[in-house]
Amino acid sequence: MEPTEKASTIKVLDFTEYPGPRYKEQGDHSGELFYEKVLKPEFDLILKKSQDSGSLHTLIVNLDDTAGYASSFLDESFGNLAYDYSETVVKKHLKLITKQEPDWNDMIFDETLPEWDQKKKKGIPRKPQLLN
Amino acid sequence: MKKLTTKRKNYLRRRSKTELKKKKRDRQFRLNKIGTNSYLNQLSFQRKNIAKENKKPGSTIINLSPANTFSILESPNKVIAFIFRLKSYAKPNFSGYQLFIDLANVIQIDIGAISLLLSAVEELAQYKIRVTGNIPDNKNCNEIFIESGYLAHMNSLSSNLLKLQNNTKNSIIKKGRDTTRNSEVGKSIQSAMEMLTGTKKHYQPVYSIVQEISGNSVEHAYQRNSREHWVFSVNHNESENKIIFTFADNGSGILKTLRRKLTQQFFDGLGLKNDAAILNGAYLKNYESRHIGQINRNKGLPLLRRIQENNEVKNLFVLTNRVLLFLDSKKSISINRNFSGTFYYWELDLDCIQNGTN
Repeated sequence: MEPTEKASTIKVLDFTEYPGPRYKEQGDHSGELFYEKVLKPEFDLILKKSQDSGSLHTLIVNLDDTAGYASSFLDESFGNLAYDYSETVVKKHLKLITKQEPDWNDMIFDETLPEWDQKKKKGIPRKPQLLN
Repeated sequence: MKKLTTKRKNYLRRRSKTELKKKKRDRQFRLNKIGTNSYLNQLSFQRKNIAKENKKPGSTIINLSPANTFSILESPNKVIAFIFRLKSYAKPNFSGYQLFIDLANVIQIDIGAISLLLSAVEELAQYKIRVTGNIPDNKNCNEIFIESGYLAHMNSLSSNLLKLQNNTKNSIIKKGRDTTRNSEVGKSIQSAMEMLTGTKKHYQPVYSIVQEISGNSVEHAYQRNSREHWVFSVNHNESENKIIFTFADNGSGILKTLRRKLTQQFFDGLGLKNDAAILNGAYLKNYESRHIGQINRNKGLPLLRRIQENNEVKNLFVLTNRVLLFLDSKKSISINRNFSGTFYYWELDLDCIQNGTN
């Protein structure tokens, strides 16, 4: 999807060329860090714009041109969005560019978002107790 | 100048004799440390123990030789038996021992076995055990061993071996403990792509594999704060124009981890009767996460299976505990000895790259 005036695009490549593991303590440029530093602030901004203007604003995240991903990096980044804002809200305001690995799009929208939404609804902590 | 007295002259004569004897003794000790014949002294290596205080002369030296066929692809059971024996010394009560790995009689060797050997040596070093050794006499094995990059991770090499080692250009080895070192791994994969295609570029399927398996290793290492480590190696086989990747860690192993949280009754209920079937189940996402309620977990191993099924890499196999499982054919080999850890092997050629980039 090409950006319109109602969409903002961010690239994971601007965060790092070498996306790392799930948690910060496991290595550099983790999914957890990407969520906290980039994804959550950008998503907040999109929601604010939608609220202020009364029209739909979308965040487009470009996953291409990095070295690649562990599924856990993507699961932790985008899953936390669903945990904090719900699957419905995220699906409404999020689009992905994944030309190099189209399977990531399916994994995030069909598995990660519903699973994290369910986790929140069941009151399960976002991070296993052992790792907190 | 004052003239020396006879008493002084005799004293100096005695002292010089004593010094000479001491020098001879020290030299003999140094020779004994690196081998028992002149060949070993010319082509030998050693991985020193971490703590210098353990370099005590006279500590026990144990000679260990693998089977002549030191190849994980040809004789996995023989290789694992040797690695098992080697790792049996990775205990605090063997601290200060010296192990001599005698590879002289090896007539068949492969990168997988060498990677496992390096991983075991790393583990021994953490227990302050010095490892020395020699290289195969067989010309072909000798070349494979030197090209593997193994020797670059030994602290000292005999001068002849040092010259040979400096000529290697087709191998990269990265080691880690509690972090995934993604940037270094990513750059190694770019270099591997350059070896294969002439262009330095990313290849996402291989990066994903290494991130998944190193992520698993460091998660467990972090939780147990143990001596766990991983070793990732890249080797270019020029004659077949393919890259061989290996990854080894010295954790508990996948099966042992699964059996810690799930009972045999559970596996029986799924119709999974043996270790190979249980291990295969982990790549089919048959089990929930060991973290209660974390339903979003366990995507990594199924991803490896998908990458192999899409032929984005080839010959991907995993060796863990008592099973060697090929993810393409689902064939498996039972291993007689427990391999405490997880070892992955896979290959990449131009056909795979075409599959992985289309």
